[in-house]
Amino acid sequence: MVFNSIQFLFFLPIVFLLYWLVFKPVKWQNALIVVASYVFYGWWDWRFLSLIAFTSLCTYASGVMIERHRDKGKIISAANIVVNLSILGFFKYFNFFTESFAYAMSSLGWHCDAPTLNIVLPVGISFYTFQALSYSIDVYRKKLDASHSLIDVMAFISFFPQLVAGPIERATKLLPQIQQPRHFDASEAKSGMRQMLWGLFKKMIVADTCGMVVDRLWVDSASHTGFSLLLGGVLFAFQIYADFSGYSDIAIGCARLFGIDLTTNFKVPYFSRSIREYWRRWHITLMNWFTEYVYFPLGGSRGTKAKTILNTFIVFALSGLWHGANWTYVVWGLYHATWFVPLILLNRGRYKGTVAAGKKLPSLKESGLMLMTFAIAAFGLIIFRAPNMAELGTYLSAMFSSSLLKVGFGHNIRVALAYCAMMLIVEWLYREKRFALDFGDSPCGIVRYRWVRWTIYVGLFVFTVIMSGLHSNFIYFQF
Amino acid sequence: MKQFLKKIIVFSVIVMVIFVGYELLLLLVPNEYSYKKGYIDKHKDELRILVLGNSHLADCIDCSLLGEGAFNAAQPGRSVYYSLRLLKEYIGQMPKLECVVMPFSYGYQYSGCLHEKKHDPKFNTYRCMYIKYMGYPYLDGEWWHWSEILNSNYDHCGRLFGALYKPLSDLIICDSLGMELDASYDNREDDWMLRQLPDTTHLADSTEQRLNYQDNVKIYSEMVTLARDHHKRLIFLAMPIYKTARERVRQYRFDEMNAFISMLKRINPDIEFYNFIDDPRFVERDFYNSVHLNNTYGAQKITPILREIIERKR
Repeated sequence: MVFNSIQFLFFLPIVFLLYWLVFKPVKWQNALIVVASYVFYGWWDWRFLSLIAFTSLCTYASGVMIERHRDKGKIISAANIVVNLSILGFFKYFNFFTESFAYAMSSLGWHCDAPTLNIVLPVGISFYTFQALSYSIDVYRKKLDASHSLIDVMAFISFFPQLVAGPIERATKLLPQIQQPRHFDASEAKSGMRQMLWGLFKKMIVADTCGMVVDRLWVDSASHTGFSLLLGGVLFAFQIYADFSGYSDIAIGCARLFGIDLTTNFKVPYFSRSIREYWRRWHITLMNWFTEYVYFPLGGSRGTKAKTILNTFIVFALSGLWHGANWTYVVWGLYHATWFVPLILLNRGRYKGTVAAGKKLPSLKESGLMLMTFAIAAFGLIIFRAPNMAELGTYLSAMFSSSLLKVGFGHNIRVALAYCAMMLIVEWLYREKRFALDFGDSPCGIVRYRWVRWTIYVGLFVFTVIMSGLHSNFIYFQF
Repeated sequence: MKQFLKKIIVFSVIVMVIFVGYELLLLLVPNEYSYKKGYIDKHKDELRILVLGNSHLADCIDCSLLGEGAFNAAQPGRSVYYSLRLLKEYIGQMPKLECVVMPFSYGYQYSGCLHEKKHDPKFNTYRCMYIKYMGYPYLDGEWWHWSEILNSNYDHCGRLFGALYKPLSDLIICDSLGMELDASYDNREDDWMLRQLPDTTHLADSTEQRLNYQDNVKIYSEMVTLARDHHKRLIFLAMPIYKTARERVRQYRFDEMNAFISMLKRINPDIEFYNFIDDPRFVERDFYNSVHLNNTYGAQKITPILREIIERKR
């Protein structure tokens, strides 16, 4: 089931009403979360429910065993990691590694047939696997007490708003919320609805419109002008942002309806002034995960400069590979590491607050820095979008051709750019808030009038549904 | 909680009223689907020649060149399922009907939006338009398939607002005898010869298309039986394709096409099949894209040929 589907329109109110009106004790609410989450996931393919159940069972058992046998905690935690990563590796990377191995062998002159399997990638496997790993590691590190309720662990791993595309929650944050009694907070619920509305707009209007243009450009990139392909790169940057941050907004908003606070996943990353700041604002929960469970254990930046560089490259390469079994993702990760490392070594680009905080507009310098950072990120996303390295080469050579200066905007490109501008303006206005449309409890300015707020809600929802047309999946489902 | 639920209900009611009003207003705006259905209803006593099928005929059969009583009821993207539905409904009500013209080409037996592309926006759009404006629900029709908001990608918003300042007849993108107006020589894109190129893979490689095949056997068989029982001529045309498309189609696909026609001929030996795929009379300027003739030059060439075929046996 996807958020932008008619089924979800019925599913959410039913679960919401059951959750607050019928299943009041926390243990019943958690059981309902598990059932609802399995229905939500099973709507796509019920056969893979066994995989989530197995992951949950292993994770639960590892937690209990670590607590009972502290002296063997490292082995138990490692075993849980191996089991979960093996499942992930099989479904996601089996063909990639066998094909890459065969290619490497053949380039050395040894012919080798790669065994490939027709494997279907279970939706969201990377997300829930990482969440499961965080649990057993945190129990081992004594940051968290092991849960003795299987239902709680199942609810933690399969919580439907964030099951298929994150945010990737750390056990230390989400599990205690699942274990605690929850009370309905109308103001949180209203705010959650607004966040969902904004997420739907980003996904169904901005991302899908940009996606239509971008997909067409990638089908036969060599036949388009360099300028169109350049715009295609820019539009894909907006598409993936609107798609993924839109999903995150819907997920976070939806969780708030159930009294659960998920971690912010995007903080207006295209208003960053450096790549370092960008990575504090883009897919925050994934980067936090890699920082906590890979970068720090490797030594982080505490060792020599060479070690810091190596660790940074490892983390970025792995985060690229996390997205999928394709060399383009690895190259994308390394591309970012290349921009990131100099900033660490020079200790530059570490901006703490939001750009132009308290002001209406950024300074000229800030604008230049934001534009440059966006250009770097957007170029990286062309690598990310490429189906393979050969097509990336075709796209880039067609883009950097003489037709790069052949300026022209087709109708669809103009519409997509208009939607992107609309999104950017609203996000700029609310960049210091949790999300756009975060009016707070005492709204000020024109939105202090209730009729204005209701016009925005109704207008935005009607506009989104009427104009969306396409009912595509979210990009990050494939990861 | 009560306050929150009250607000959600008020919001839902407002939104529902807007959506229902929008859907009903759309019904008042004419389009090719409602126009073609309305035309057939109005002229069923006079029609002699009925062109059915998809864009391969909708784009380029100019019925004004076929003489009195001809109408192009083909629709882009129409599955043969809908052509059969239309034929079943009207064949007994058209006393003057002499012949029905249908497209048939390589790969048709595997395609037709039946099992494939169920999540394709184009498929959803067609399904919705056929239900809403022609009254033909799809096999597994659900109530929400009627809603253009939920299903259609056919610029309903542009149509509705267009109705405010354009004459309603301008919103129908076909001429008075049903030929589609978009596929003109002037409208074709710079890379027209690369557009809609056929797949190089064997269509029957996919499960959905193998299921399509089984359904298409039934539907085409029913169609030729219907023509036989009502003593109507049924003419199948394999339309010309441009060389960029032609070089991608392997011989075995033509063999399969001929085998399928032979199978249909065993049911109704009177059906006619004319193959123009390699016809040298069709040149570059006659095409709209790699697999469609345009309505400017292509229609002027193919329609007289069709007229000659029809008159030859009259």
